[in-house]
Amino acid sequence: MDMLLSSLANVFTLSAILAMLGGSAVGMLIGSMPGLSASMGVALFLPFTFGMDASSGILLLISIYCSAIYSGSISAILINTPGTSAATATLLDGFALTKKGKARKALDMSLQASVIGGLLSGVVLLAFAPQIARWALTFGPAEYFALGLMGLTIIAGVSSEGVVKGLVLGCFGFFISTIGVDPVSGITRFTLGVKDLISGVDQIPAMIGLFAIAEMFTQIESGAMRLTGDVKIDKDRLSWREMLPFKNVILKSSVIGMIVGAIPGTGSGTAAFLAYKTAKGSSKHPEEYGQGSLEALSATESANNAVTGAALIPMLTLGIPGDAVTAILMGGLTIQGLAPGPQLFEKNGVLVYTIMIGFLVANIIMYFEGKLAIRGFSKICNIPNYILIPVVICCCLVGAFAVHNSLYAVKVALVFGIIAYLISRFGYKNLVAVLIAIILGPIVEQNFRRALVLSGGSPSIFFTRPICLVIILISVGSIVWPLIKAHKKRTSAATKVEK
Amino acid sequence: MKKSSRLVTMILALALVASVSLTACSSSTDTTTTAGTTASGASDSTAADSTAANTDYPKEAIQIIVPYSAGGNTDLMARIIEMKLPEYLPNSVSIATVNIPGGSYIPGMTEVYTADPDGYTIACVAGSPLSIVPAMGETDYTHDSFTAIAMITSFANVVAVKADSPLNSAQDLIDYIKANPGEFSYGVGGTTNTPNLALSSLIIEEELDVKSVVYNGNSEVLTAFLGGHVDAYAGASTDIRAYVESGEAKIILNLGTVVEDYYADAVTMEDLGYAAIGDSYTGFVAPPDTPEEIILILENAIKEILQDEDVVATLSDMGLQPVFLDHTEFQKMISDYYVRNEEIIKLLGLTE
Repeated sequence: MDMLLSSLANVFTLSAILAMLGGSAVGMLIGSMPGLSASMGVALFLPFTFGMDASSGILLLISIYCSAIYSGSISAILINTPGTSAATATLLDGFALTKKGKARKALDMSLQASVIGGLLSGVVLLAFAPQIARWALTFGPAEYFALGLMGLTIIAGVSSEGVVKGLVLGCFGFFISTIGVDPVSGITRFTLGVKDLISGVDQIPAMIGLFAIAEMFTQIESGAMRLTGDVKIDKDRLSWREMLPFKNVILKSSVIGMIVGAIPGTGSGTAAFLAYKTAKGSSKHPEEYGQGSLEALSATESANNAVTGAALIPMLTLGIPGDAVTAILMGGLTIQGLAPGPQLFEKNGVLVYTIMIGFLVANIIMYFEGKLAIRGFSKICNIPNYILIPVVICCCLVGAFAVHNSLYAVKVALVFGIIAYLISRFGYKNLVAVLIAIILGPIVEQNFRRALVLSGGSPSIFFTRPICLVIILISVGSIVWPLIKAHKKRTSAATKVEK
Repeated sequence: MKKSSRLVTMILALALVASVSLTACSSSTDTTTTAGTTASGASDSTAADSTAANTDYPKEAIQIIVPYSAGGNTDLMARIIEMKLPEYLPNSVSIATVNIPGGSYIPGMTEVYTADPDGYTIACVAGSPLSIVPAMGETDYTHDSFTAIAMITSFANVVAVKADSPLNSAQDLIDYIKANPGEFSYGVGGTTNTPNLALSSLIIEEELDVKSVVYNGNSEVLTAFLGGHVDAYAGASTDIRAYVESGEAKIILNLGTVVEDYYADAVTMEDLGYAAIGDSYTGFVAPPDTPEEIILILENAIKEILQDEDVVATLSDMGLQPVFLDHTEFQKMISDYYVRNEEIIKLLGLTE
């Protein structure tokens, strides 16, 4: 109890509050610009934290992280280009809402759902971190494979142009993910003798190219003066009361986000897609998904922010970084002389609680700054294309460069942009499937191989481990069940006609 | 939008793209986005002045290229040095750390390999980039292509098992594996990383039938090990230290030569009769043909930094001790490791 009180005192110091205010603002800016990612923002500010005290430093980085994950949705909604890879799922319904003139509602929903997701994950972090961490450890190669597989089944759900096209794109994405060094054997694959390709194709430049740059090319071609054409922008906001009908979806999606976040190696993008698919499966209005459904948005937004708190769980309790951002956060702690590990709680309990409580406060700050940001960002719709498009392309390329501080990523982004633009002419407009496969390909492939090494080559490992089996059954079920339903509908409609 | 303004948009966009690419293309060494110079401590300019006698190096900002991701151990060590260098070099220039991760360290190292040998671009490396990767045959450079500056630390890679495992020593491990072929599994962070190559020499010689489960880096191995998915952890001693101290794991084999308190009793490879190549060093190198005066200035600065109490304290928090080797000794170490690693890579059949 004393520790909690001391940590409360730490959180509400001037330097910590300033750090969080500043961090949220920075994160919001960085996240909303296509091409600049959350991990880049955190990495950029890491050196600033060396001169600060530990709590303020870490809270600065955490605020940047939370806000960036949220604000990626802003550009996804307003200009159909995700600001961070976490917002790729937002593309499915965000821009459609803007085209209907409901940008403000979409932005409000995004902010509110994100904050709820973040706060819920913060509460769980505070209350159950050690237990969840240990549970997450039980996920071995077979389980990661199953999770990846479940993620891949989403491709069917998001392919608004038909499952076959989705599969084609998914396979393309899978192939792209194999380029580079095969981590298991150490041999390079598909590099065609080009040294740069040894690094493989990173998801961030691919995302920038497939969604941001391609979208800009499409906009240029359309000749529109403004992104949303001449639709009048509704000034209607979304009140908290209007959120009530979505509370179940938000709760479920947050739980999904927390599970994905707690498992090291899986990220916000994956969580958002899983939540989207689950919400669609149990929705009363699944046909609205993809056409501008607020419910879909509530699912993706709460899920991707729920990941942020849960991602801190393995980091704080076990000293294991779950993704690039938590790896940098750990670096920040290490330089301050606080080695993250199983004894961090014992040796520096106050700091750990400070981080957890600070996380909750950061989310609240994010809400208020977000409200301000939305007012400003909504005006982006009014900016004429001939200013907006070059600026966005510039940001994208800078962001691509910043991924590895090399031009290679920029080339990747441009190539993917051109590919995306070209194939859109053949009816392949919804490229989300490619990104899902690029992200999940390595997880599925590498863990499949690791599981087989462990089982001595026997595939029974996937069917004898309970968690793995359950996840595989759910995945298979999620594909088979809609088919059965459709079949039943057809046969009952047929019998009705007969009568 | 009329056709003409569409054209204008297109041209503007392309112009911006071109200008961004050109700016990025021109190799500049003045990225100065670091707040590292706020570190406390009196400026030791007198010590540094005496060694800067003949050249006016440094007079511009220095860039440290780190072919690793931000936040990792090597990156942190580079940043520790980055924060202190301005105090120990004359002219208080600023230092910037630039991360160029991925691609088996090749993009990052190539950047330094092709940079001007003027001392304004250097690299911070651990064992793999120079002592292992060139043996795979895909690089333009090799282990002695660069000009070594200094080594700052060395730590051992180890094999650890759960504390409640019946295996208490390396001999137990070997006996167990021989008695139960194909059952024992160990996790390691890469096929051609230092711990795996070191352990492989043992595995090949003793003809052990083990399952080698390869992950992407030490933290994934740690996760798998803690979750009980692999029987042993083979990787950096620094990453498993917290678990040895908390009593959850025990180190039974030291793949290198560096010994720390928490595994002082562990058998070493040399005890078993093998060459100990399981140490991971961290140090700095410069582009080929960098003039000796510049190397000596940097080497000296680093030597003094390693005696700074803040640095010793931070390293110790990370489980490391400063170990200094000057440029000749460091280059020798890089090359010695390379020769032994090359043999093992050939034995494992990994080169084309």
